[in-house]
Amino acid sequence: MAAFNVSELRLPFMKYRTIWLTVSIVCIVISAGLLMTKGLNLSVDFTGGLVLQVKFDSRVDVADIRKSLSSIGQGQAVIQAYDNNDVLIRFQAQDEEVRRNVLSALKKDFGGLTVLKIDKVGPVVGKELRNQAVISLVLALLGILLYMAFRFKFRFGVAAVLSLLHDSIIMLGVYSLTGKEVSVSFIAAILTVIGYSLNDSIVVLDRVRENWSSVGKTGIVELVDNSVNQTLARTVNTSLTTLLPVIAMYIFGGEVISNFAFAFLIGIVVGTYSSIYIASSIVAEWYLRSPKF
Amino acid sequence: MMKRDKWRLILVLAIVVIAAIITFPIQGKVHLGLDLRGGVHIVLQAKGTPGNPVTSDSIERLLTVLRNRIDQYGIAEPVLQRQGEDRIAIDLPGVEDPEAALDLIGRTAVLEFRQVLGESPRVPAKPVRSNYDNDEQFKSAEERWQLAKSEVDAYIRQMQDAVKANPDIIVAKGEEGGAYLLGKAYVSGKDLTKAETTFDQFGKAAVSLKFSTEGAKLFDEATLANVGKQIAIVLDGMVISAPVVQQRISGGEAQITGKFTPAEANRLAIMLRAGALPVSVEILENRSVGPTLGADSVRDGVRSGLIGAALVVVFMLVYYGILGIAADIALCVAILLVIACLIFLKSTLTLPGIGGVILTIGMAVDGNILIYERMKEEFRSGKTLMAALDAGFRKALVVILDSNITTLIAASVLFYFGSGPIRGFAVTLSVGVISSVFCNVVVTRSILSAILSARKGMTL
Repeated sequence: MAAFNVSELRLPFMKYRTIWLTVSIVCIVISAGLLMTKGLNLSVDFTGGLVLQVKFDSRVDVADIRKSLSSIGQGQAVIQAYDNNDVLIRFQAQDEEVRRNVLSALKKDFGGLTVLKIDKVGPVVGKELRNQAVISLVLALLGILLYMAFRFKFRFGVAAVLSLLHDSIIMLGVYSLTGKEVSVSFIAAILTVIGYSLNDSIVVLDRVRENWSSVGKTGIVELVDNSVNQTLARTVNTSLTTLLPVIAMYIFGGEVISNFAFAFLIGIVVGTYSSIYIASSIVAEWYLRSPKF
Repeated sequence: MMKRDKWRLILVLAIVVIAAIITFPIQGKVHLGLDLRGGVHIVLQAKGTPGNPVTSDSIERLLTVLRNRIDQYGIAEPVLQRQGEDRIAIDLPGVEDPEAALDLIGRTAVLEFRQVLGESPRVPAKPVRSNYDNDEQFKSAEERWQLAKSEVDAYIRQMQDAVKANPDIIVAKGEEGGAYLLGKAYVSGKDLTKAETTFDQFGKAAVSLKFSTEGAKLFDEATLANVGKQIAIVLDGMVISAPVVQQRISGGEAQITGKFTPAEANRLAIMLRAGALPVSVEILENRSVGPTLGADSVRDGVRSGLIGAALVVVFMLVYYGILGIAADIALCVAILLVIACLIFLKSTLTLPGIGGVILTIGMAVDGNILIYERMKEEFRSGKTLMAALDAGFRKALVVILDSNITTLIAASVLFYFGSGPIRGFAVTLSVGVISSVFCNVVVTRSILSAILSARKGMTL
């Protein structure tokens, strides 16, 4: 029905695999470097602390809020205004007294205000959440590797998991670079993106597996190229249909959901690229080096 | 239409009807998380002392006291749960004033009437700039105030030194920066039978107390011994007020006045009625969302979901034509099934959960795209329409299952290790994956075989 058929383009993906593998390795190194030097902007979920979201009845100035907070010795708080009356204030300290003092100081200096949100996480909980996050990422990757090894050839599983690691590290790198906040829901986002990106890799790898019998005739490079091309229309269309709602979430979803959507946005782009280039290139390179394995 | 297709269509219709019955009318059926409906989520850590350790029993009593306080405060559907050995998680939906709720839960509320042995001078009110003509006057006033404050502080330090020598007496802070040296406790909160909000003769909020027989006797003795002297009313180690006893009070009734608003007096009365917490608590985690923010999130979430779904529907129609119609119907069924499952499983929809549903919309048509691309390939290679349909579904099924099972693995990890909203996300994601696979494979197929058997000459 559609006049245009992407699969007939026969794009020579594998021809450029060394270039793209190099690009990816460079990206990973940069991301790892960023993570080690700049680090992530961890939210109170992981560090412990207090976040207050307050809506003032009238327009307020960030400088005035800072002055008011300085008068009670909380001048080092991070103040972030969005909208005219909505303000987000972050504190490292989290005892009840700080919260009470801050709110009464603000009430005194600015009159009417509504507390929209309080997030307070103690340092113990913060540390527990951090451990939980690491454990769940590791377990998810392990579970996926096991399943892949069971359903596919072992090296396919390794290729898929390597491309997942690639995606996760680059996502973390982008978060480090942009300084966006990493909260508990980011962990959910990253695991979901892992699922999505894996989806993509599996479709390509499944086609490689299906075409495997002709590897002796055509050679691995052409076989992988054919497989990627055969599934290309699907890859492009699925990326589009997944991107459409994610973009809608990013634009219209309000502050929290759009934060979530940003992670998906990056993840889908990186995941689509990696399923074409990373997972399949690794399979091809591996076979070229040791076909008997 | 083949017989098998007919049965499939009937099965699909039956499921759709059941899902619709569960779902509509949708108002109030989806259980919204606290982040969406507004409310307070608190995790308390019980803190024992060597003399009063945290035991299973004290946690149970803690739960009872907290439940009492919350019930009396009038919060509908509170959820109190033990978490591990020494933690309690509390969910209070729809609380308008999280500050007040926290105050109610976090305070230990140990009430004592104590002998007053001495009192430090009070720190005078801090000077305010607007009361002075020029900066110099204000500055010297500030200096005088600093001096007065350090005198008081020195006095308090002296009292604290005295306390070290004698374990029976304590120093407790009072209002306006002063402190009291307090002797033995006469009566405590456990001798109370009643605590109510009242108003004193000046119309100020107060809490009136009634003691048990034993308490009345103790209170009687205390007032008798202290006529003309002060008795301190101490709450959680803070002196609320220290009135001078005018005469002996033998009826077993007393009144606490202080600087209360009516709401504060009411909370104090509740805490005294419900009893003191058996061990002290620390608020480990507190997430409160006002009701307006929650409503905003729901509205934004639903709107972005609808826009996203509309975009996907249009894309599928434009790209795949008639096949797209089948995929779009299947997508609608998938969304219906997700909502019905959430209602049926009584799972809680959270903000990340809404994100999960929206993401599911995007991924739901993936299965159909896989199938359709396969069908086109088979059709191009010379198969008939029905054969292409059959081969497309058969060949795509394996990869659809493989790719979605891996998503389920990630989701179940989230479910086991996540907490609160993340669990909600994991449930919606899993439900979404399962229903979209069902819709891709079964629903689309039955719709397509119905369409294709009606229009024989169609091409792909």
